Amino acid sequence: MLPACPSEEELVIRFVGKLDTATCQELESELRDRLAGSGATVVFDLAKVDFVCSWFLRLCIHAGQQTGPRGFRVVNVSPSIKKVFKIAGLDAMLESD
Amino acid sequence: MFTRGSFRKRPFDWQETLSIKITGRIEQGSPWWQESPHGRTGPPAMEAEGRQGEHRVGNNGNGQTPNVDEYFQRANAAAAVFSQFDQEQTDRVVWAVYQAAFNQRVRLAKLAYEETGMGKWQDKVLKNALASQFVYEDIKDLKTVGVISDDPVTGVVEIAQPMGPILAIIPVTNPTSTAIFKIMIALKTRNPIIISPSRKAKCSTDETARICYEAAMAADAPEHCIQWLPECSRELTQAIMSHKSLALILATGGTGLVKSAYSSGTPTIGVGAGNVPVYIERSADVPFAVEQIMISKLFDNGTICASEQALVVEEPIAAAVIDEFQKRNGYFLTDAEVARLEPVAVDAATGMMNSAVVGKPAAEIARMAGIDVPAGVELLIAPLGGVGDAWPLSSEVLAPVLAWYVARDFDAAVKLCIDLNYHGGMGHTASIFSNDDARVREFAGLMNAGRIVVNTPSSQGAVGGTYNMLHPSFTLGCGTGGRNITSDNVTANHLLNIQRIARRRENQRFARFNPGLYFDESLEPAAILAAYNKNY
Repeated sequence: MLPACPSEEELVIRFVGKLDTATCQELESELRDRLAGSGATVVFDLAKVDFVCSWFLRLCIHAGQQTGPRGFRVVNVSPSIKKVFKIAGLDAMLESD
Repeated sequence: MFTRGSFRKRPFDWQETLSIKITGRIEQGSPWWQESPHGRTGPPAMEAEGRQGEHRVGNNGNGQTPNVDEYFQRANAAAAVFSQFDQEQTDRVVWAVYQAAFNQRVRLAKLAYEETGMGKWQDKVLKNALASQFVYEDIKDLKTVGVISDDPVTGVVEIAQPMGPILAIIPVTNPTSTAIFKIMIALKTRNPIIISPSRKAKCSTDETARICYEAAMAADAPEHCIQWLPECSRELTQAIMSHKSLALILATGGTGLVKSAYSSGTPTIGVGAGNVPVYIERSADVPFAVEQIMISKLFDNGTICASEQALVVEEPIAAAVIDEFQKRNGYFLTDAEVARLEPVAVDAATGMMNSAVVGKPAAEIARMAGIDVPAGVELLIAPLGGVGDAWPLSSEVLAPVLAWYVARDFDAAVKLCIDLNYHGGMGHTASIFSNDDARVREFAGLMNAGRIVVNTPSSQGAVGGTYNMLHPSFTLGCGTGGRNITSDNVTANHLLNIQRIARRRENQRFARFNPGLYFDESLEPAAILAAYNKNY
C-alpha cells in the first residue's frame, strides 16, 4: 500500500501489486485506523493492482460500511479487476470511467 | 383410409390439404384442419372430442378444450415406433424434411413476414435455407442411432438413445426457421416433437410444422412424430411443459417464457437474452468492420438475438468509423433525438424492448419517434453516456438501432463491454473487430459470452455455419450466465441420452495398491500417493 494522499474531501489510498490474503491481513488494522481517523470520502486506487483476493473484497465492504454517508469508491481498476467486482456483485463501488 | 403413400404424390398445397379428412387414425373422426380466422388451426386430432376424466386445458377457439394427455399418448406412441428405427431410416426422414422445408423456404418466409410484420422476407428466406440446408449438412453424417463409439482400449461403448417427447417453443422473430431447425434435430435423434408457436406467428409456424410433418410421413416416419398446439394459451403451454411424459423443453423465446420452462420441472434447454457488445479495436480494418456490422444489424431488421446492440470504438479510429457508417446510411442521433427514441424503443415500465419496434426498418422507427431522418437511412446510432437503466438504449433492442460509445483505449473499451455484457446479455455473444490476436484473446477472456465472434457479422456468426465452423443453430445456449445449462450452439447432439457400456478394464495401479493403507491415519497423502504410483 502506498502512502495515502489526504485532502479535505478525499482520502485516496493507492494499492500496488498483488493483494493476496497475507498482504490484506497485514493491511487490515492500519487501514481501519486510517479510515477511522479521517472524515473524508475514502477512495481505493487500484491502478497498480493486478490481483485481489476475497479478503480485499471484504476490506472494501468494511470500508464502505465504515465510511457510511461520507462515501467510498474504488477507482482505476483494470478490466480484469473490474470483472472480479462484477462477478462478486460489488461493482456499485466502482467509479465509472 | 389414410396411408403414407397418399402423401407422397400430394403437392404441398395447404388449400388442398385443408380438405383432407383423415379417418382410421383419429378415432373421433375430427378433421385435421379446422378453419379459423387465420385460415387453419390444429394438428391431427388436437381438436378431437375428449373423454370424461381426461386432462383438459384451455379452449381451442372452437368451443373444445385440448386434451393434454392425448398429445402425449400420441407422442409416446411415436417415440415407441421411432425407437425401432435404424440410422438409415432416421436419415431418410430427416432428408425428406430438409427437402420439403427447403422447397418451401420462400413461401414460408413470405408467410412469416406477412403474419408478423417483422423483418424482411428475403432475409427470412435465408434463415429458412440455413435452418434446412445448412443444418442438414451439419447433422447428416452424425451417428444418432445405436452404437456411436466403441473404444476397445477403454472398453467404453457409447450408445445413442432418444430422449422422448420434446416441446419446442418457437419465437415470433423466427417463426419458420426455428421450427424447421428444431424439427430437424428432433427427428435426427428419433424424438417426437410438439411445436408451441408464438401467438403472433401461429399460422406460419403451423404451416411449417405441417409441411415438415407431411414430408416426414411420406418418408415413413412414425405417425404424430410432429404435433403442434391448436392454441397459444399460457395455461395450455404450462400444462404441456409440466406433463410427466415430456422429456425435454427446447425453449427459445423471451426471458419470462424460458424461466417458466425451467420452473416446470422438466429438463430444459433454454436461451438467454442478448445484449451484444461489438468492439472495434484500433487495429481493425474500419471499412470492413462497418460493412460487416451493417450486414449483420440490418439482416431481417435486427431480429436475431445475436445481432450487435452497442458499438464500442477506440478514440483514434472513432472519426473514421463515424464516416464509414454515414457513407453506408447510418444516422447518428442527436441527444434530443436519443431522448425521443428511448420511450419508443424501450418500455419504461419494464425496461424491455418495445415489441412495436422489433424487426421494423430504421426509417419507420424514426417516424414512430418523430425523428426526421434523411431518405435512405437504414441504421439509427445513438451516442450514449453510459450503460444501465438510466440509458434505455443500452439494453437489447431487436431492430436497426445501435448504441454508440467512444473509449480512450483498450482498457476503457473492454470495461464498457463488460458493463454492456452484464447489462442483460450475460452468456450470449460478444463481437470484436481486430487484427491483434493478443487483444482478441484478452477481450474474450473478460467477456461472459458463449460465443466471441471475430471480424464477423455477429448475427450470422453466432448462428454458425456461414462465417465460421460453429454448428448452425437457432438455439444459442448462454451458459449459466444466461441461466442455461449449456453455452453451445444447440444441435442434435444435445437431444440424445448417451448410454455407456463400461467393460471391465482394471485400474492397474489400484489393483496392485493395498487399500488397507487408507485406514492408517498416520500416513501422509504423499506416502499414500507414492504407494499408489509405485512401479507405475
